[in-house]
Amino acid sequence: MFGSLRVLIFCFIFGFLKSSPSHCQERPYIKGLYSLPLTLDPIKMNDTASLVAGNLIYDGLLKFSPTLKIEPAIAESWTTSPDGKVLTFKIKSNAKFHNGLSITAIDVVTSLARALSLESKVQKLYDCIDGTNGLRAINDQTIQIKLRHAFPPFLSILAGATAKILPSKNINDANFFNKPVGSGAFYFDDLNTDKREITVKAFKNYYGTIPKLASIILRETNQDVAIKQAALGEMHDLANWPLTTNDPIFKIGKNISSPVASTWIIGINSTIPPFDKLEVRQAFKNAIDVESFRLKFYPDAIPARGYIPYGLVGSNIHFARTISKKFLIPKKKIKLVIPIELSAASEIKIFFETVMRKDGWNFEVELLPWDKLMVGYSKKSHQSFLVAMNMDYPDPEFLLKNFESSNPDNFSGIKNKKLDNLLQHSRTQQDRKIRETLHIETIKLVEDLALTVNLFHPRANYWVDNCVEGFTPNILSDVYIDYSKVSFKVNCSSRTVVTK
Amino acid sequence: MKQGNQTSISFFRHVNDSINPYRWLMSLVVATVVAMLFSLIALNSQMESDRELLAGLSPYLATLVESFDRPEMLRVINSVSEVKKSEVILVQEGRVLATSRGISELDLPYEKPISTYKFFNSDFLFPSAQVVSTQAITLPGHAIHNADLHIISPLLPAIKNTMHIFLLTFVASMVIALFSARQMRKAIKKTLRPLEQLHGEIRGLISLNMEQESKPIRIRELEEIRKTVFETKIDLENANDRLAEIKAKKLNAESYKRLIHDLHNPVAALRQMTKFINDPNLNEEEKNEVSNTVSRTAEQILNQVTAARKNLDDEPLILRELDLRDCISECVHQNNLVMTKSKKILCDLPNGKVMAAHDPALLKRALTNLIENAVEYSISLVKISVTKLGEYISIQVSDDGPGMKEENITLFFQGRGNSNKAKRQAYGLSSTNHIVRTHGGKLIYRTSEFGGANFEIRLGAIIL
Repeated sequence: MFGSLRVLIFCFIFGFLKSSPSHCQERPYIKGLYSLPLTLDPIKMNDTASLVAGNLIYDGLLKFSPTLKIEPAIAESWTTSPDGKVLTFKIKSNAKFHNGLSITAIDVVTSLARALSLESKVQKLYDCIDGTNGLRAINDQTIQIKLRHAFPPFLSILAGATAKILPSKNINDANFFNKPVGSGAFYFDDLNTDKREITVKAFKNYYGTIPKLASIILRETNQDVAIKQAALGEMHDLANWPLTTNDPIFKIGKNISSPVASTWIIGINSTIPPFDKLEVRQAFKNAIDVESFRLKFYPDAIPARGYIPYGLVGSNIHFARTISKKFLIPKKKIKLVIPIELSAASEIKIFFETVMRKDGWNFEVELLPWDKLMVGYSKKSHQSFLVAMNMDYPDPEFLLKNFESSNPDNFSGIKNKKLDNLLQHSRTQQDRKIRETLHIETIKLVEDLALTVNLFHPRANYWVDNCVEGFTPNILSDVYIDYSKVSFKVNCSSRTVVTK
Repeated sequence: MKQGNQTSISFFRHVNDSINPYRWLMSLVVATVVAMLFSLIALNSQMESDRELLAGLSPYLATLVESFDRPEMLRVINSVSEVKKSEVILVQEGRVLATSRGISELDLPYEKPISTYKFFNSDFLFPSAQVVSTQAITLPGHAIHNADLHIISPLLPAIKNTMHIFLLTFVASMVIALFSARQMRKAIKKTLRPLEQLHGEIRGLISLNMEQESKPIRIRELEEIRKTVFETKIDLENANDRLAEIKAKKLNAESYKRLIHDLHNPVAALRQMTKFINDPNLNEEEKNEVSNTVSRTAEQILNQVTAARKNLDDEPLILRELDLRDCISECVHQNNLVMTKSKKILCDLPNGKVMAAHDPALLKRALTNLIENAVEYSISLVKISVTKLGEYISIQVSDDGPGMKEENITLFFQGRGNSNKAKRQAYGLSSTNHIVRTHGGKLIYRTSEFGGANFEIRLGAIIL
């Protein structure tokens, strides 16, 4: 620690006199998080902060490129059987855990078996695996995964943030996740609960490109504090917060803009009256002026045509509006819950209430903290709620699955056999065009069922310090940003002053 | 060779120097034109290749656009970009649907680069040195296109190729130019051969070397010149002959005048002596003496007339512009054949030609007479020298003999001296004198540098 500090001071003093790029990368890269990770166990991760930390520490067999191309990570190569049910992976011989142990097929079997276990919160993603028997180590470097049925998006799951490989020899240690061991580009160094920081450091024996940054500090803070720290040069990365282009912080930093696979929606719970009636849901959906909302609050976002994030299959469908002519606006109160953390939460409340009440709706907007909103979301106690539906994987399956009758995460509570059948049928198809046709039919059905009011597709504006280089956003999520390629510009001072 | 202030050069060099600038210029122009042609072909082929690639991708991309499968579009576009080392952008409704430039540009309005120049259905961008090819992405069988695919390729590799082609073509053209220059020089030399032949022919004609046969020249124009020169030469010779004939007649007439003049006194003396013979006051002895004198005088007159008739009537003067040295050498050669070992003839002749209009037969006779006399009366040495004195040519025959009394010279010159040879051959000094006079010259006697006789034939310039 003292050594690093000395190098840092040296760089600040002599950085302009002597160019020493490798030493100057010793200063920690500070990334703001809205919260410390709730867990460092990949199979229990469901929040962005945990996924961000997990993606730094752990690697999976595969990974996503910034443009969602599936690339090898720990896997050196892989093959798929003609029927699409058996996938065989060969592991890179130089892939090692942070503790120096080589990664073997047993580690992969153990890690994926954990995802199938009862303690897993992501089990539903892996239920296509033919149980634990479907995971087999052929030899030290080769693993075979057998699926119940062909499931083309399974490779995306393996490239996702929860399919991480952990050392089988240590995974059962009681305190393993207090100081976890992975095989990612950075290793876990310290959790400082007082400072609310996690420090990860560059893994020098990483099988891929050795990270340019010596260390990354994930610091918990809120958006306002984070912006202040960024303005003072005390934080280098605000990618965890959705900022608008007109935020003053962008005057002194880089705005790296990118589309994200996300749709902001108002979710409708079809189990709570009056939303149990289809015509009410449809009328409600039509009553909300989504374009005015987008232009007023998120003008740089893309108008939402449907539920599927823009740029993915099924996102470009033109839907015909279905309005019942004999419809009477219900007198029963309708409550919309929105996160209080939104920068313009109060204005949004006024906007919706004004618009809906003008049309005669008994309508109220309630501002709730994010965690309470999520509790209600899980319990399906909200009548309607405003959330950003992020796509975990680049396939409509993972968003449409939310409306499947058997899915405990079905926030709409809808039970529709046709929809269930379409989903069941589509996920077993290997032909991409047939899958696409089935997905489009499902999407149209979801629209007809009026289970969401699709507000817009956001555009991410990532703020990073002017001294930061190599920051490449990922369409899927900021979770997948590859920090091993990020570095500090040589002889660049982060100390700046905000002029407001 | 210099003529006045101008340096004269050979015709070959003149032609070569005249062609030279065009030869290099042509090489440069050919290299540039060929390089440009090749460059355009290379550039067009590159753009054609881009367009073909885009056209080939169009149906598949159209399907992806219809499905709105952006991850797959990005995969395709990035693959194309990596292979072509170009930027690939898919634009729909004015917005970037997929691009190899990075995901930050996705969904933003597409800023079409400002085209600097349109060529081969492609947009050229300067100074960024890029070329943009565009392909409408259309589903097979559909008229309306879904999107536009732009491929922006750097021009630098094409420019590099162009420069390589230019340099290669230039070097090749230069090599060809050098080779053709060498061949051209040979061709020029070959072309100029008939001209050299003509030159030789004309020189031959001018130098009067008629023994050399004039050969026809293959080039028509030059052959006509050769014929004209040849005919002109013949005409000139004929004219010269006619002039020589006229001149010879004049000289003959003058010789007769001089003969008449020379005979006047002896004939007058004869008439006087005839009167003396008939004079009753003279005794018999005096009459005999007069009679002998008459007889002798008549004899001399007869000799003179015989010599004149021999020189003038039997062999009339025929003048030719010839080298005197040939005539002298022939005479010396004839005398050398009969020379005794104790005597020798020294010849002091100029190195160059001594051209003079003369009748070689007569002059040879006159010279032979002088040389034979000199040899006959010399003790050991006879010297013959030829010198040019202004417009005159002097031929001197000297010996180291006893010489002659100068008071008798006039008599000998008029054929009135005693000379056995004159009697014998009708030659003698009077004949020599007559021949020299016939040539319009003078025969001069003086004592030689060796103490003997010196006869000088001084010939004037006879303009033909």
